[in-house]
Amino acid sequence: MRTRAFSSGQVWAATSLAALVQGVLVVLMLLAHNAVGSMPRPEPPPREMSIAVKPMLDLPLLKKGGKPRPNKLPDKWKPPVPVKRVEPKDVPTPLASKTAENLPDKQEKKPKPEDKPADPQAPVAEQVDRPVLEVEREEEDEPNVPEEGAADGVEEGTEKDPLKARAVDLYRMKLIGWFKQGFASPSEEVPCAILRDLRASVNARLAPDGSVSSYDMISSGNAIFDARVRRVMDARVGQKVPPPPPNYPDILDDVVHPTFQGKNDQCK
Amino acid sequence: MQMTPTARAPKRTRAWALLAHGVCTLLLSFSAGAQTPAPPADESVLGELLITGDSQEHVTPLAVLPSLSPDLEDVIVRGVVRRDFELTGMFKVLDDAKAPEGLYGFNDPVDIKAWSKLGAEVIIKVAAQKQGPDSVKIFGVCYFLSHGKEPVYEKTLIVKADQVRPTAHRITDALLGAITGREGGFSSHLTFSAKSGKNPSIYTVDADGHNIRSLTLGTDTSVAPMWGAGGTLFYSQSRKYSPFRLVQLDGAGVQLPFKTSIYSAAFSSDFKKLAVAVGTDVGSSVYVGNANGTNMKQVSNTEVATHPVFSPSGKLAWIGGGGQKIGQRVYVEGKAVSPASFSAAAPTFCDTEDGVYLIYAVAVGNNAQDLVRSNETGGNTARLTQGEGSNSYPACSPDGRLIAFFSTRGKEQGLYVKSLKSGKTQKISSRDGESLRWAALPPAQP
Repeated sequence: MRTRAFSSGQVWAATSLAALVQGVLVVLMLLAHNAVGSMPRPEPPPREMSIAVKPMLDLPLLKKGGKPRPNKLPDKWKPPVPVKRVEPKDVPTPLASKTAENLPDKQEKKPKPEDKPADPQAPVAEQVDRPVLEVEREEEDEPNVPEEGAADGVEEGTEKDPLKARAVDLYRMKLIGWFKQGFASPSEEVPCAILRDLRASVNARLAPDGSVSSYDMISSGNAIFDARVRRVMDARVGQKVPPPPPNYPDILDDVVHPTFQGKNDQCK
Repeated sequence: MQMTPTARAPKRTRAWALLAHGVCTLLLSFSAGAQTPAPPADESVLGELLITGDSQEHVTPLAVLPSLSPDLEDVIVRGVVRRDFELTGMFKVLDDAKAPEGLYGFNDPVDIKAWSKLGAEVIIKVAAQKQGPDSVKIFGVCYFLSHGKEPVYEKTLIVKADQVRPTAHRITDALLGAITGREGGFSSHLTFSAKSGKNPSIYTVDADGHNIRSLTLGTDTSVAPMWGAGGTLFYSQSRKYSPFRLVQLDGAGVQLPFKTSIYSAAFSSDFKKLAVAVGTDVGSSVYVGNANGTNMKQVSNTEVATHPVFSPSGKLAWIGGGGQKIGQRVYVEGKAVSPASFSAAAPTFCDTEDGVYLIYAVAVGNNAQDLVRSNETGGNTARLTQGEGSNSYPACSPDGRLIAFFSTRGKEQGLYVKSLKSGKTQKISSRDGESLRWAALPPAQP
């Protein structure tokens, strides 16, 4: 007769332990199922993010182009005319003394025979910063371009009528001026280094009579700046925006998008 | 703890003493106020003086091309258009003396490059040519120098020889419409009453101060003129001390159901409604009804109500008050909207590019008046004039860009126009007067 690997006591102990573990699990599951008031952990609130918005107001820009002539190929592409660099000028140091006796000697020192010549290996800064020469473009009678538009337009423009484009420009300036009334950048509370990058974009919804009915704002990320913008926009709610020019009543949509920027003349 | 009646008695006595003291102080202050003259009204209520335009706003340099043509029509058209652009106060009109050398004939091309160098952004070319014994061809062309050599706008009109001046104004209006998106208001006329001999007469004048003339008899007393449909002229007339009747110049007029005097009147912008100020036993009341004088209903409830005027949206304003003891205020749709401490007069509405404004005159002491601007309901009050003599009877141009008024500024009384955009003020006539009204000319006949 073979001897048993486990004694009856060991079997009983193992069975009891297994039953106990199972029982504890069942009890825990029941407790979890019957628990009252247990709430899932709330999701963290959405974080406001500052988004760079390029256009100030959604109004059509004058399209760049010309008068296409179908029987002729478009003109050869030409590189843009280089912009002339700013001439470097001597700027007085703010540390300079205001008394006349401390003024530097204006007469340049002439090299003397005993002076050492300049190191031939030294880098010459003038050659690195050579100014770009301004190129005089040849005058053309009428450039032939593939798309209809205006010479003073922009690539992303859509408006082909120069009169309407000008009226839109004037109206855009008027709307900006209207929204800007009472807005002052908080330059005394926010350092210029931060302020100049702040932008708060607003969607202002207009009622049929042209009054601002409501607005929402994409935060600039700065509470002080946002508060200034909100104060201005709260004052605008209920007021009528300037009407669009009578010849182009369609240029005013039911939403306008002013963007408030922190940079100003003092803080560029 | 409950308070006994004996404990309450001293407190009650103190309360009565305090009340009696307060009443005495109030009575004393009233009696003192009755003896001392009333302090001057607080002028800060009128808002801050509008500085000439927004410094941020760009003033467009504009050139009106000179003309070397000896033709009278050409000289008139060019002179009128140039003067109109100067009167707008919206542009920096370049001096003729700075014009680049060149040919300035009817068909000569425009030297865009030379004008660009002078800083011009917009060029206006106008000309007139005789087409026959009695007709003249007038044209206006506009160039945006940033846009190139091709004109961006052209308008040509062929009119009778006696219509050159008004047509030149129409060309200006069309060019302004092209440049700004809002047509101009120079093809218009003003009317007012002014003394001509013993009695006031009715005068009319063009928008640029030209062609001023009296239209009524010096033996009648003619006041409070207004423009009706199609350029017709109405006014209140008294002949040989009779009550004032509303009459039409060279027309049948309007039959009104009133026996007493009609002091002033106004048509709505669509000429469908008529408002009249009618004399009563104690003062006057404003009535509104159909343009033909029927269905008249009283709308004012103050002792005195005069000078009715309609807004572009149909709102009715007038001057109301309780006689001389209580100051007169501007009422819009029956509600007083002007500051209570200032006696107001002559309201008018301006449909400007910034929205509709209510403009009126207020008495500011020393027998002077100043012009004040507010929104349609009286909010956002701002002064338009200050310390420049007396300024009265404002009237707005049909395009809402200019305000005309009588002024005594610089000891030079006369009729002035002020740009509501830039604030620039220019004198257009030396004539003084009252009850100024401004309206567009009827459309040109083909």
